[in-house]
Amino acid sequence: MKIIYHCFGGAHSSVTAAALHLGMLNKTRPPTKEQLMEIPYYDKTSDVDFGSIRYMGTDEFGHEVYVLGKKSMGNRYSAILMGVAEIVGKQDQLIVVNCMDRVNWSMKIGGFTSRRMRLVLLGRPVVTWGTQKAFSQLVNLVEITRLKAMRHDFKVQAT
Amino acid sequence: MNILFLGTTGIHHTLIAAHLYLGKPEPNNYRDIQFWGDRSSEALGYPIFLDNDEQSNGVYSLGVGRDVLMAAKSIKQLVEILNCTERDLMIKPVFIKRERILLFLHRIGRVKIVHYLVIPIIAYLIKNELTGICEQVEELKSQFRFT
Repeated sequence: MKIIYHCFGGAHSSVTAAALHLGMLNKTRPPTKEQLMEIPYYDKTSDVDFGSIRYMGTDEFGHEVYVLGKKSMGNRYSAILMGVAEIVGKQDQLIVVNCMDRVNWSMKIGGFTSRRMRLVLLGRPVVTWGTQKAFSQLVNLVEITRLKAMRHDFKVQAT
Repeated sequence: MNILFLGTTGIHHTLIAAHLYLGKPEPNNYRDIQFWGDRSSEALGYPIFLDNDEQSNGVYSLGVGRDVLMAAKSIKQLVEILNCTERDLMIKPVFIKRERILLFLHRIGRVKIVHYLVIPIIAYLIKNELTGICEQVEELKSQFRFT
């Protein structure tokens, strides 16, 4: 199974969610700034990365985890990707997760300042602070996704 | 194989391109084409299945908003991730010169009354761009001839 976490730039919330999913971050306490910066792709993407599905790792159940930045296309992108998977007959092998509803204003402003305006010194502290604040929300999203993936695995085993 | 026509909207120029690709005659009134201006189908975000071509390939139309190339990139990569190839899904982005005007008209058409006013304008716009759309369809057909 492939799991794609997507957000506006594919640099903060989706990357943090994917890191949580893969056990790169401890779920029980918010990460420090240093821990966040150690995550691959965290606050390190550029404009050419929009639309790129980037591999983050494989979880303990063999699910491949990816991240994607899709600009302001919202939930529509989930439908587009699921629709394409359906066309090629692989809809049961894909979970697409929109992280945008777990993103707070600090992440939005900090992310925009750091990535779009390229004012890293100004934006990075704001976006990392925002990520720490949104951490429990992202943990919740990841847990829901992991359950979905597990439920799917049980279904496959049962058939 | 399946063919996915991709554009800013999936219910206007992209639909016409798919319609032409399927070898169907151009109707006098675009309203006679199934899904033309059908906002409810477009709103779902899923590719719209139109028909099978002569080689039994499924033909779809999909609207992805302003950034068509970004969506095309994601879809191509997704197809690879799902262990499929271009033989399973071929993507054909369709462009017109007045993309922005089309998108603007489509967006203001959210209001039902405006929608009815906007549809003939969009039809006029696309009729003027038909040569370009035909060229893109021919390009796709020639691609098939070489593969």
